This record gives sequence, C-alpha cells and structure tokens, in this order.
Amino acid sequence: MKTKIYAAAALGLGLLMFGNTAKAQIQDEQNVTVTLDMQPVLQLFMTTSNQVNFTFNTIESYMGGEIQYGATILKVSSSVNWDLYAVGTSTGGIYWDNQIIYGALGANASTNIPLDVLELHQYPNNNTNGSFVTAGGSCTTGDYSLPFAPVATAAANAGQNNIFATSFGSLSPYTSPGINDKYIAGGFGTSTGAPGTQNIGGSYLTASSIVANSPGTSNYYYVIDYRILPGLPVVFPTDATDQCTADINAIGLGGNAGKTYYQPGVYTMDVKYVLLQDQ
Amino acid sequence: MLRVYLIKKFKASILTVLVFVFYITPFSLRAQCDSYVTPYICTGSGSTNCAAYPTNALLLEGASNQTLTFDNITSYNSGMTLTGATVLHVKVNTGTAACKWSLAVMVSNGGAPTNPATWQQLTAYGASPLPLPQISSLKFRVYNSCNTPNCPDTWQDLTINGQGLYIIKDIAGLPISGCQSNVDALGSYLTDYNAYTFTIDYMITPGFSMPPGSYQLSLQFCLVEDD
Repeated sequence: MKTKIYAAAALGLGLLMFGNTAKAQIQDEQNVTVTLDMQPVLQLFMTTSNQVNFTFNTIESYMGGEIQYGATILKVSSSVNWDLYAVGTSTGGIYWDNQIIYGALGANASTNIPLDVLELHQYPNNNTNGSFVTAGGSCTTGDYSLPFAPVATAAANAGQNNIFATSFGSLSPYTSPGINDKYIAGGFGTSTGAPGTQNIGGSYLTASSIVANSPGTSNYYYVIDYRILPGLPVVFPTDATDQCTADINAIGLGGNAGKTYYQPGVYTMDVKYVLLQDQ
Repeated sequence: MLRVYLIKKFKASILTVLVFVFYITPFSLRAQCDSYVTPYICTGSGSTNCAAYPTNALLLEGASNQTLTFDNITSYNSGMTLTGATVLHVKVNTGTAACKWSLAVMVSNGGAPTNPATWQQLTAYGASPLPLPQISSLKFRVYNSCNTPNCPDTWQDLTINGQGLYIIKDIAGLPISGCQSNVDALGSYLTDYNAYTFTIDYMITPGFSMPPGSYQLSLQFCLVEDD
C-alpha cells in the first residue's frame, strides 16, 4: 500500500514537472546600457603673429596713427554657450610696460601710457550683447564694430574702439567685462532671453554666413584690426576707457599728473582674448 | 519668344527638382523599415513549440555597457560610431517543426521623472538652456551575413521610452528558414552562424544642439516565441 502511495506521488510529481515544461516557452533577453558623455569643449583658434609691432618714426605716423588691418583672426568652436572678450594687460596692470626710453626722460614726460589707448575694430559685429548699457559718449554699441574715427574727430569719439583694460579697478584679466563694457561676442550675464547675452554652442567650421556674400563671416569668426594714434605731441587723443568715460590716468591726471606728453621709447602690452562658458 | 522662354524655364525647373530629389532622398528617408511597437513587452505568444530557456537562449557577446565620449569639436561635428559593439547569438535549436521566434529591441530611459522622449540625465555639465538629447539621437543598425534582419544594415532609432522595433519580425504562417529575411525557424548560431548572429552598431552625432552632460539609455533585446 505504501509502495502504491509512493508510486502515485512520484507519478503526480512527474506529471506536474512535465506539465510545467510543456507550458514553458522560449523567452530570453539581453540588455546593453549606452552612456552618452558629452563634455564641455571651448576652443579658440587665433591666427596672428606673436607680436604686433607699431613703429612710429615719421611725423605722419604720429599724427595719423597706424592701423594693422586683419592682424588677428579669431575662430571659435564651442559645445556650450559662450562669450568672447578682449582685455589689455601688462605687468603692472594699468600702463604699458616700458622696455626702454629714447634719450633722457623729460621733466614733463611720462612713461605711464594707459593700456586703453590701444584701439580695436572687429568684423563682423557682436549681435548678442543684449545686456549692454551705454555709459555715455560715443559708446553706442557694446563691441568694437564701429570704424576707427578719423583723426580729426578721434578725440570727440574717444572710447568707441578702446580696448577693455584692467587699468580701472585693477581687475584680473579674467574678471569678465560688465554691462558698460565691450564684448567681441556675447555680453554680461547669462540671460537667454532675446536679444540674448551669449552665443549658443557651435563652430566656425559649420556655422553659416551671417553677412550676405561674405562666406566665412559668422558669430564664430572675427577679424580684428588694431590702431594706435599717438598724436603730436604724444598725448594719445583717443585715450578713454572702453566705456567712453574719461581715463583717470590720462595725461595730466592720476598717475600722469603734472605730465604733458609721453616719452619716446619702446612699450609693450598684452592683449588676451578670453573665451568663456556662459550658461 | 516668350513661350520659348517659358518652356526653357519649365525644363530648367524640372531639372532642378530632379537634381534636388537625387541628392536629398538618401538622407530624408525614414530610417525605420517597419512600424514601431509601443509599448513593447518582452513576453512570448503562449505557444509551446520551442523549448524554454535555457535550452534555447539569446547570448550577448561584447560589453553590456557602451560609452560614447565626446571631448573634442571634431567628435561633436562628425559624431561617433561604435562598430560591432554588440553581437547577439540566437540559439533556438530545440523544439517542434512549428517552433518560431522573434527578436526585438526595446528602449528604456528609466521612466519618470525623465521625459519619455529624452535620455536619462545622470549629470549636467553646466546649466545649459538647451533641451535634453532625444532618444532618437541614438542610431543603431543590425546586420548579419545572411541579411535576415527585418531592416538589415539600416540606421534606425527609437523615439519614446518603452518603444520597440522588431529585428526578426513576428510573421504569420510557417517558420522561415534558410538565408533570407526574417528567418525564425529552428536553428542556432553554432550550426548556422550567418543567420543566427546579429551584429549591432551604434551612432550618435550630437552637433551643438544638446547640453553637455552624462546621459544613459538601456536597450533591451528580447527573444520570444511566436505563434
């Protein structure tokens, strides 16, 4: 009897197992996880000579100034929103570095040439500086797109092309310009509202032209001209801040108090082009 | 004179259209050869003509984690392709003559709170105003030497969380064997490698319309029995 019970149980268990197998069906799966790692990339390509030289050795060059056309070309590629600005710097951070003077230093002569006497002109213009607020004068645009003023009216338009410099406030060159300052592209703040204060990610390699019949012009490609206008006597008549306000260290003022002209010699300064993430 | 002129213009217009179509067509075709299956659920039909797992199985060759890293402008512009990153081996060699199977791929972004159409964001690099990358930005193509996939060697994509596409389609009638489209009869990669092995490539071309960050998607490959 016990044997029969065992046999019946074994049969039942077998049937149960067989039944399960018969009802099972093929079902299998494999999973692949895909990770997308998009890292921020900002690249500024600069085509320029290591040193842009201005030599003033004729009366005409002093009075008319010198312009270096297309001396620097800036090309941007960025995967994030960005701003681009230029800032004049030097060892002292306020004046050009005086390497040597020619002749004896005159009693009324100064070697403290403010950094912002360097003028820039950019092409194309900055069309994303929506936060710019003019501080007055001829600074009607928040960039360097206005053409260099003719010598006859240069003093009246002082500041419209002058480089943003650390000379006022002794700022670090990596402290970005404010709402009254010039940007080559983008502007102060991170607002994304129209008309915008930054350029969106992109590349000069793929951006379409923004100027009709001018291939290569885009928000990612800028040509920079430089001008220095010493004047005669050498007082740099266009000396002003990039906000078109008076330079507190202009000839006769501040560090140049009591001086009436700048001493001939060799002077150097650096221009930094800073591409920064803006988002 | 005017009439001739118009005819010439008309011919020119036709020529222009033809040239335009010639160049645009290859890029504007919809990638998918077949309809999406939404939602795709990885369950069998209920038939029992095929032996169950693990007698019959789907085997994965290659890493179960694939990473596409974009860290230079060239890669952003040109995109990145992982060729042969995933290889699937099908082994369905035990069952009756009526045994049929299908193979599908389903996408998952982890569900809410992630938007159904976007990748799951793991880390944001910065605070970009750009919209999160779409699931459809991940392209994949499936192929083998026998051209058995339903949409062989064609870049495809999925668009919504839970959506699926058939690699080997659920087809009515008798199982298909040999070296042809949608082979779903008894067989194994061990004895018929070309028809029962599927190689998968992945491709993403981000451009500059996606915010930098780290994102994740999961692709689920399902082998199930058909009626």
